[in-house]
Amino acid sequence: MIPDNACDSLEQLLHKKKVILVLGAGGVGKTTTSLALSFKAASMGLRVGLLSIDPAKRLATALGMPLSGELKVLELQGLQYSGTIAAAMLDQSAVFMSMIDRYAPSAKIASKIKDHPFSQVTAGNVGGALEYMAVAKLAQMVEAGIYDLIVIDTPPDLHALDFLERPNILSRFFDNNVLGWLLRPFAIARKLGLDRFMSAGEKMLGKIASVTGFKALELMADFLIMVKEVLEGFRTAGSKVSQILKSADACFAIVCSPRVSAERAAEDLVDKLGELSYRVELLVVNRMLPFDVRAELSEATDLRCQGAKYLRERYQYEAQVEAKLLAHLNRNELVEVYVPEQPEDLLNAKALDCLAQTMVASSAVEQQKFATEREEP
Amino acid sequence: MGPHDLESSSFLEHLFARKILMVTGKGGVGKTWVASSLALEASRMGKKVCLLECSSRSQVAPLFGLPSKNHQRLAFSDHLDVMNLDTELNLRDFLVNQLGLEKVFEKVFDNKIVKSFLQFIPGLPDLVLLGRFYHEIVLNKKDNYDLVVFDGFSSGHFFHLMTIPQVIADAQVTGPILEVTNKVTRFLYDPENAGIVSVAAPEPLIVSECLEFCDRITDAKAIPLAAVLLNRVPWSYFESANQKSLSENPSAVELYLARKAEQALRSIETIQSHFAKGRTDSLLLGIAPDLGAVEEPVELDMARTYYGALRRLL
Repeated sequence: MIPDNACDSLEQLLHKKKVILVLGAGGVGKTTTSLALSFKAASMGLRVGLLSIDPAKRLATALGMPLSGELKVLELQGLQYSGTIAAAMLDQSAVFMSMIDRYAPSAKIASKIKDHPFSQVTAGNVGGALEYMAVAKLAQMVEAGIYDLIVIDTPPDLHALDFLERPNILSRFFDNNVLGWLLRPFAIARKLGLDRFMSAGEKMLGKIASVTGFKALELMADFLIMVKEVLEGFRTAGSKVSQILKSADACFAIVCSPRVSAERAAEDLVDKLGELSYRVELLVVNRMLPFDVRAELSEATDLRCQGAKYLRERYQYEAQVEAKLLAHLNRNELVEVYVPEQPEDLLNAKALDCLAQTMVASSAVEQQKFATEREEP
Repeated sequence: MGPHDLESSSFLEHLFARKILMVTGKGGVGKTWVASSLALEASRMGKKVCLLECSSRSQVAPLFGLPSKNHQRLAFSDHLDVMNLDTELNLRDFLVNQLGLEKVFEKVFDNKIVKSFLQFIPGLPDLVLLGRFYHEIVLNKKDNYDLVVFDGFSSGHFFHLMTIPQVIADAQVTGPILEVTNKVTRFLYDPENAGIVSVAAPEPLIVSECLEFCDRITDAKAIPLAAVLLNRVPWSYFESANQKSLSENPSAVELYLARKAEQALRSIETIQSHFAKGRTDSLLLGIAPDLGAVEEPVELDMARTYYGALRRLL
């Protein structure tokens, strides 16, 4: 019944997998979970590479995470781990520049691209750029070949999955051959001179120019002509990553918290991933009410203060939300981890180590406890 | 009227003096609840309100018991409309309404090529969103809204919005887009028109990120910061018999609530001391209660209870 390659426990999962992608709505604790998973893996002797998208400054500083985008091995104060964690924040601009360096046909062109006004803009603002940069960075980390496990913390919006569907940058451009369409007339236009070209009745470009102005259009086309190979580079990285993510070496972890919007996002993610035949093998439910509090609330008959009454409402509502999510998942192939709100601020290595240990314990034992709780009407 | 009703109503009055409110905050703090309840209260005070969001899945519609429709104006009451903007359709509306390019785009907008291209223009998606707020308040003479409330994205995204004028300039965009950019940003940067409501919850990381965000927004001198709202403050803070001491054998629930109350107090102190030095008079600071669970559809009295309890931090 349980597939051969499924994992019974979190530890098994961390041993088996080479890449874990952590998904979930904003505020559920993706960054913290990514960290805790990394800590646990390192405590098991693994060499971990962690890419974090947008960690809180306080947290990053507390852990000595570099702000530069280059992976750096963290010094974990007070912990004696046999493994290591090399961590970095995603620096979109730096990744874009490194892709230019790698794929541009010559150093001269690479330089021209970097100087082009659209370069800065592209790294930051083009729709979905963040996801493409993250994919490129992941490809680089895999290529480096020095990590036993790579953990990727993802941006909260659902767009994180766009690149999985079509792992090409500006995929629409490739799909519709827009690039070809666009570049051809401009290549011609360069020879003829732009105004002569436009007045020769180039309707489509003319329409777009009426929105952006000629100069911007020219700039854009210039840029696209130059970056053709770099875009291909992104496409290559995307394909590679897509292959890895589909293999048994990788898995997706969904992080959720017991609130409606997080649960809905989790359901959408599960559906989307299912459609694309990716595997969700880890579910982490964070920020639950502590177990002893839950136990009391479920039995309490006379709650006198209003605060306690609101708390019970929250508990009941949360139980509903969890049940809904679990009904949506294939639990046979899933490692489930239930994490209560932590009493301490999770702002240093020791606290994260505690959290990591809690997660492991919970995946084994609490799973059963919650299963029973939920069966009660 | 209780002793605190005045505080709450003056908070709301000041807030509703603006025409556009953009609610932001880290995931999970209660943005959608705050945006929706603000819109609801404003509509009850007689204002004509448009509540907007831009999500792949509507968060607002279920709260109001409305169907989740894409890019359709839904009337909750005769004073409150709700709409979940679709990025592409919003772009089309923008080109047609604001740039007057109906004739130009009517036939070709659906063309994949044009669509792809437009989505590649730097800054355009965000500009189009801001343009929508401007449109609803200034240009929409049919609905004549007094107030637009936007259930916004997380704080990180807001900074992209701040960079739009620069992005557009760098891309050397000229013509209608540039003109509209200037018009819209000028309107939104005016504190009489627009304001950001930054929502936080009583956790140290959430509070520190909120305060960092507030500083950056203030320094950017772009869209003004209107209010900071600390949400999910435990109910005991608002009860008159406030700081009860723990009983002899405190239950797990009691200990938990006490710990939460303590955490909330620290958060409040952090916020207060942050803004103690040289803060603009017009910045509103408020704290609001944790009401357990926001069910769907929400009970309208919940907003009453919520704002009835709201306290201003002075």
